[in-house]
Amino acid sequence: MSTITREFELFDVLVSLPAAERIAMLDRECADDAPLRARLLRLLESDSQVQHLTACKAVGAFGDELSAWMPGALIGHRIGPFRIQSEIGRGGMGAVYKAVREDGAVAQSVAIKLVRRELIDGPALERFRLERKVLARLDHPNIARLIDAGELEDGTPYAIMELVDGEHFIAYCDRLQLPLPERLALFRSVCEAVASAHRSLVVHRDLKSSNILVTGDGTAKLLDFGISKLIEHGADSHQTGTMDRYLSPLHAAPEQIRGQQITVGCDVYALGLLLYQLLTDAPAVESDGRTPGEIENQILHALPTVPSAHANLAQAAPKLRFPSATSLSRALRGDLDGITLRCLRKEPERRYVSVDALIADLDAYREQRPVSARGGDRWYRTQKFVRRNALPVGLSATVAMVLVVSAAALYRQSIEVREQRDEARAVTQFMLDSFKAADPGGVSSGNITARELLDQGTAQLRADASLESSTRAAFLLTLGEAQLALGRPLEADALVAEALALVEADDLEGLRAKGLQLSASSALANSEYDRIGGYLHRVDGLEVPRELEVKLRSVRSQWLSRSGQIDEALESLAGSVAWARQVFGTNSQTHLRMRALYGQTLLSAKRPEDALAELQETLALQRRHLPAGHVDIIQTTQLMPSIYGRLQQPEAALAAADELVALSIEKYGDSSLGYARALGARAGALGDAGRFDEGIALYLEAVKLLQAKLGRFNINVSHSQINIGSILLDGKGRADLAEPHFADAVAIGNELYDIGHPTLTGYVSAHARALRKLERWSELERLLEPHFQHLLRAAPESPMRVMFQTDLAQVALANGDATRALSLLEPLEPLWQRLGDPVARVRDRARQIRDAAKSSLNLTPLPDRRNS
Amino acid sequence: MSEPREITQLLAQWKTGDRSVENALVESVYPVLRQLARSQLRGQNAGFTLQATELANEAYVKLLQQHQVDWQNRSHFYAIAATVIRRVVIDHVRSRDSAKRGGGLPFVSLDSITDDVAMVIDDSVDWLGVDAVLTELAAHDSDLARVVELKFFGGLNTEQMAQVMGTSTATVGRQWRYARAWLADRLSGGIPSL
Repeated sequence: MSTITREFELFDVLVSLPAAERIAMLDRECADDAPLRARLLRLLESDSQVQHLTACKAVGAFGDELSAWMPGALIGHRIGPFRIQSEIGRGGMGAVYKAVREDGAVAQSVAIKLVRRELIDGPALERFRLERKVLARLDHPNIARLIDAGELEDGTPYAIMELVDGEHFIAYCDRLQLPLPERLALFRSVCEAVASAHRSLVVHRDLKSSNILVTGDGTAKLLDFGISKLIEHGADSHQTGTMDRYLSPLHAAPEQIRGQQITVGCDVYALGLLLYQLLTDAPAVESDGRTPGEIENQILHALPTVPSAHANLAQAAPKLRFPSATSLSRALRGDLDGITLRCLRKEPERRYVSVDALIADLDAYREQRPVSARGGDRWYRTQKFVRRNALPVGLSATVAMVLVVSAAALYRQSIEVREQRDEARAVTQFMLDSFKAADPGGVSSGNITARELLDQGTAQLRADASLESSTRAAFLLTLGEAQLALGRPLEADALVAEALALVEADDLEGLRAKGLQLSASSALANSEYDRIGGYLHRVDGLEVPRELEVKLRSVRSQWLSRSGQIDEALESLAGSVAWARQVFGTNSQTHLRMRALYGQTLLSAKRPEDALAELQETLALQRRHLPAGHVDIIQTTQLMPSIYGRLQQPEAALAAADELVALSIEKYGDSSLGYARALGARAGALGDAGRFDEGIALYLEAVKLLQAKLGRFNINVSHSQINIGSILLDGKGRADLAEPHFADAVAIGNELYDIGHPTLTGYVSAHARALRKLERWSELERLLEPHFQHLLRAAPESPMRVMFQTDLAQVALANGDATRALSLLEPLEPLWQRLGDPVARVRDRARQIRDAAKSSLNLTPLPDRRNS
Repeated sequence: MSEPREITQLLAQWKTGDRSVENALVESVYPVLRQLARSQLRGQNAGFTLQATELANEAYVKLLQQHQVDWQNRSHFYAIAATVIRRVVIDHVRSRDSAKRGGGLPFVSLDSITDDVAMVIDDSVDWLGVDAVLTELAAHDSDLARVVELKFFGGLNTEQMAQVMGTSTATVGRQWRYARAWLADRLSGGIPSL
């Protein structure tokens, strides 16, 4: 290995380590190479100095536009009906001009913002074009209106906005010494504006005092909605560090520093910063004498001082017209502390879920009702932070949006380079756009389902030929992942397959591992086990981030378990549990999730006692270390009824199911998929307890819900029909009532799957059982014949083939054709031994049919036989 | 001027990863690019700008018209163009004022792009020094040097860079980070050479 290669490799690892660990590693790796150690130290030092710098390009790709950026160059130019009068300001990203309308109709002054074209790349420009349509719709008295946007002839993007003549928000409050109630009222009006934008699915992403002006009449106006960060995306610094932080680190939310998904939570955080400053006259994030790195660290890890305990209250008190620091502190203590700190939590999902929720608490405070933020914060501060990334599956419109955003966030976790993260953001933007397209009335109408949203997104993607293949593949994967989370594996599979084809065709390395994982996961959800091994094999050797590794490990073990290799599954899972404990920690969400999967697999291995012990312990730990009602707790609880059922403890099963239903209602509401699944679990427990009618009623309720949410042709709906049929048939012995449910499952299966698909074949066998009990022979024959013919060709050694052939023999016998019955049974003889246990019961039935057929032939011997 | 078929063939070889033909390729493309670059530079005294993308585009079209190339992928052409442009820039700096050599580092903070001249080549930068250090780096690790060259002299984004390098954007990012630190230290008189 050449010296520089070794140096590069060590450097590469070193820069990814916290400063404290670097020296340890240097000591370890360069123990006997002092010159190398010295060089690396110098390189690290050098890196810290130039980390936020990029190449001074010797060649500019956009030299032509230079003249436009000379001060004053654009004065007198016309853009649309507006003539530029003067420059208002300029910054790194462009310049803002004042312009007046010239077409004579009305006197109108506007602000025109020009964006340096060289700082915007293709995808960002695409987003800008998409987004400005939405921005134009933002019509709120507290938002500076976007009047028009477009591009100059040379491609420079511009935005024409309402011109606001006002003062920065905080400066205004301080100059007038606004008392606390007035401050809160003004702050509330800002919240209203932000909430209104969120309802139009626009996130500001860069709210700060200087972006909020207060006009002479005391009206707050928000500037730059959706624009500022859009531009930052385009500014390219081909470097691994995120750039947002260098622009305004003080105002960055933790997830912005981490380069994670930007959601409404980001605006909630920014509002929290603003509120903090309004109340204490001090920033929540201290910056005095700190380096950008220290500030970042503080934003990421340090909880802000409780406002009522802030040392600056003595200075703040007069500005808020309080006689003393003590009196101000008393006013802040409790509710306002709670509201502010809830906005400022590190994890977006632990802040107010929406700005509306924040407003509700502000109103509660004003009206002296209890606020929701209070109390929770103390608990919060004593807890270790646990990240949540599970997908909520509730289906109100807002939740559907969260689902989409989370899907994109999950996708994002699998990639590391900033540029690709931007792609993930573009994906989210795209999804949100499709959301808007599906719901022109806005989220408030609340009628959209995630299914419609995703279908709309898919259609839009297919119609858009302009996307680059990497972006297209990323979209497809995101859509696929969301479909999968939603319980639509078939739709997911099609999307993921398309993405994987792009990955292969265009060598999209960054997406390959994710594409393979989703291919395996959707194959698993579709019960197509044959394909999974291949996908997993292809991931081997690829470098994958650990979050993706988690998914791969769980897919592998579920695949092993469901394809009958239960011992291998348990062994692989034991390894994964140990791995997760080591990598993520004993009490980590991931480790506990892996343990839950282990427990679930113990159940599949017919070890319900072990499963119960494992899951009880896991659940106890999850309850201790996760917030109440956490989706992981629900998921583990979901497993309990069937374990108790297997252990013949119907009462315990019902109790667990009741708890699950309660949790699901609280978390998702009573018209959600999560609730439907809980109902299914409870229905199953009722069935196990012999309370068949109640079980069936619940299942029917679940089916109705599932059908409304996912459409009729969905695997969850058909599975539930099978469950209903099974209770009716096995529990109540009512084949007549069960049959239509099985028939419905088969009808759905026929729409979803090709003949030969294991799920469809399973439905057919259930239906066949009912028809057999009902002795509806001709229907049974019609049902089985095509599937039998297929199995004969495709899977002659499968238990299903044996079962169907036996059924057809029974049909023949019932039709009086004993010869045909025997000729159907005869080829099965060698298979009984070979297939063993799985066909034991069929074999008994086949023997009965054979005996009956033989005896019928003997009783009524055929003439030719007698003669021979 | 090279035979038409030759360029196409060289490029095909180069695309399959055969770096040995790179020099020949650069030589083949050089005349067209240099001519275009000179006409762009004419009359620019204070600083100078080359529009990498336009330049490469123009050359590309020109070569296409001459039936010299049948590339499917422009990124590959741009990458080759970067080498040529580097040479043009260095020649230009050298010829313009050999006595005047800046000593500044070739890096710029994103905030300072506010300067209206940021897109004009920065006289305070020691471009000849950059060139020399780059040549030194290439002797140690040609891939690292290539990334730097594309950074400074090419009009490619990271994804395109990864494509022509046959690696991933992650790798390009990591290589750039190392090379940037190395370059900064080397140019400010640090790190004794290996």
